[in-house]
Amino acid sequence: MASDRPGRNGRPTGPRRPVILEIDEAGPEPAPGPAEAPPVPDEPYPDTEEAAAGPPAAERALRRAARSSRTSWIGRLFWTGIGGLVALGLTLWLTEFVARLFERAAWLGWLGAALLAAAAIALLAVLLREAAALARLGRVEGLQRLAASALASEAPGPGLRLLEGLAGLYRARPELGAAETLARGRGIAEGPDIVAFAERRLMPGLDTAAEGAVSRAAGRVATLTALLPMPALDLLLVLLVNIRMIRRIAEIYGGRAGWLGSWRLLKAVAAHVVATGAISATDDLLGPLVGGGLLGQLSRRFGEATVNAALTARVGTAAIEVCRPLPFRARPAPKARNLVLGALKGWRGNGR
Amino acid sequence: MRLGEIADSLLERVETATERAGAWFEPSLRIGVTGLSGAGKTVFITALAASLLHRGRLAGFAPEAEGRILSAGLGSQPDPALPRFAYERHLEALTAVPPRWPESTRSVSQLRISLRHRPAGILGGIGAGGVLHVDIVDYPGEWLVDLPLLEIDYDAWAEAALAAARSPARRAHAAGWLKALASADPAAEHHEPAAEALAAAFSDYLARCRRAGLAALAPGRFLLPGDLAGSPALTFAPLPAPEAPRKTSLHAEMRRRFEAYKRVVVKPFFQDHFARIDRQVVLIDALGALAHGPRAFGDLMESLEGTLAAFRHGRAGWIERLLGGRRIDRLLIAASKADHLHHSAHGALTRLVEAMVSEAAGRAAYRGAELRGVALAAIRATVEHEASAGGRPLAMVRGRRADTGREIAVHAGSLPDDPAALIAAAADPGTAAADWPDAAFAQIPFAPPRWSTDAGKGPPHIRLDKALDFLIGDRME
Repeated sequence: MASDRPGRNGRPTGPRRPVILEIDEAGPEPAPGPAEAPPVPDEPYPDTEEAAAGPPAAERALRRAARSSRTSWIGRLFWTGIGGLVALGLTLWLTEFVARLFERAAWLGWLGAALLAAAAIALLAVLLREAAALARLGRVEGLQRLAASALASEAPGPGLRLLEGLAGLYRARPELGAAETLARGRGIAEGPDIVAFAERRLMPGLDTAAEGAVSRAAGRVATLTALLPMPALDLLLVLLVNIRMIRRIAEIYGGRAGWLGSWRLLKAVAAHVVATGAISATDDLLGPLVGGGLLGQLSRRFGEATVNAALTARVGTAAIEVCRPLPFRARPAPKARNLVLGALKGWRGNGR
Repeated sequence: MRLGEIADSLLERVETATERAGAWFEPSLRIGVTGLSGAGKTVFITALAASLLHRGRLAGFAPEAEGRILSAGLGSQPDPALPRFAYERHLEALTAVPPRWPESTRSVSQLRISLRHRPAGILGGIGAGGVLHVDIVDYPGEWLVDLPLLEIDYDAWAEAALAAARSPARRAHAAGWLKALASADPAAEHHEPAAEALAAAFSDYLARCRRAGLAALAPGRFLLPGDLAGSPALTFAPLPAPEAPRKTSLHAEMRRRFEAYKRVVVKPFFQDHFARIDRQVVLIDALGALAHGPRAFGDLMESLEGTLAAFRHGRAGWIERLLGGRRIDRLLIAASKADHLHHSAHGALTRLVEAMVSEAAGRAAYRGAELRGVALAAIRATVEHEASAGGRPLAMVRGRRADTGREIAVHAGSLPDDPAALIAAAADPGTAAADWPDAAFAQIPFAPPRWSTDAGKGPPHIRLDKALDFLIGDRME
């Protein structure tokens, strides 16, 4: 190895001066050329847009939901005690009831026992399914955390683990091509690029489906509010449509929420909506639609319908951010305004 | 038989009709590749076309990563009067054994790349999708420095050119021409041999400046005349204004020729190729300028600022769009040849080029254009190499030297994190020092990498996919 250093004035060659080394080509193994070398990683460079955005909304919502679910130990003790007592009482009452059936007649007793066993098996199945659903939600949350750490790291490690997790989550849905994404993603050098790659390959179809679900729910809520005469009933139905929408979104992104999971999701989404102040900011969604409140004044019911639809769209976008395994980085996040306008497209003509 | 003929002619008519209608439905996107001589325009365009045709290395290009590109091909170009960009010849040079860099560009040429794609989002499943034509023009970078001439008149130009020639940075190169100038009398009657001698001395001075790595070398046709060699429009030189101007003096004749040069050379060049572009890439070979010292660096900065001022950045209003007017709504400031530096220096390189054109960039951003800076290598000729020098680890790049063909590892010099010191040292190219006060840089030409399109892969590159995504990705949504 000869070295040739164009340093001037005989000054020692510091790292600030150019250095040229001739490389002995008869090395132990031929080094890869540029065509085979892995791509160079990006030097972390402050991206003003990303820096200004702060932590993604979904992350904030998750943190908030986690905080609200942590009740005090006294409360937990109380609920555990009460729950245990109710369960014990129920079991006692059922066994005594079956025993009394046996006293009455043997065949009645056997029928009762068989019915009890069937109910117990069904309950077990439901519990198992709920547990599986919760585990799946937990998996999506784990992927979200993994994505966050991949976005922050220069090394490909967390990104590749994320791809593996995604491939596992979507194993039952080969049309998404998660396995192929994993295979192709191995060539990418750096965490954020892997996340962007996965998002671009896996999320577009899911996003479209989720946005469609939100749009449909918003439209349904608007119709219900406009057509149902009873205020109390429409509140209940709106809640129901919203829960169904959230479940649907969770299913689309691979969460497959059970009832317990849905409840948890609803809490997280509600926390999200409250935290982002979306409820009070609903009016700006409707500006172009209601036209300065004129239509709303013409028909109070129409005004209520649009407000409810807008809220549903807000809840829907929040649900998407909570359920999506990857944050919105490479692809644009859905806008509640576009969704509600899409849902109410036919309404403008009708309203006039 | 009859029926067949009728069907044929009918089909033909339908085809031409759809072709004509197609122009309305198939949008075209004109990318203006702006860069001075040696910035790497031809390589950039060749690599861009090759990467779009062989898309194996475009993970950072959203339409490709989402699998939305159905096919890509070289279309027939829109302007029948322009020669076609010699894509195949350049590609052949790059993929030959041993590979060569494409020859430097000597005339204007054009290339159209047509991309058939599926739209993103809700419409994704519906319809056959759209076609986007990407039009790119290649031209000699020497001609770009003429654009600022459109704004000034002969006397202002001559004064600036004379002042620059007498500055410490150029005095040595200008000796021959200044001697010829001293013996000429601007007020004398026009005499063609005298004018020719002055023009020849002037172009000799420009050529000397270019060899020293300087960039502000207007008028560009003096270095690369194209088909105008020897014409009166190219036979002039800056002269000081005489005290008693006469219509038939040498000075007046020179002024007429300067105006003719602007009219017949600069203006058509600008209007045909730059006035109607949608996206702009500014390729800056910052390391090459750094290696030539503060004078060349400052010269490059000044030329870039002057050149970029000629472009219309910002968003076109709806009336403008209706009338077919276009504006550059995205501006990519690209540090080319980033493969000469280890990736740990790419951030500093990006900041440096952004600072070099900060004035023009600020103006473009103010008018609503979207800006991005990137350090890229359209074709990557090196791999990263870690070595130690004087006991300390040193981040280097390794590649094959273009002149000797030997494998070398290079540390081209350390870029400061904050480019302000470099910018300040080169602020006035005329009086700047000959060397950097506290640093030195080298640019060793590397031979192109060995590579072929057989595996469906384009040339190895650095961040070309991200640059593409910024330039055309949004138009394929």
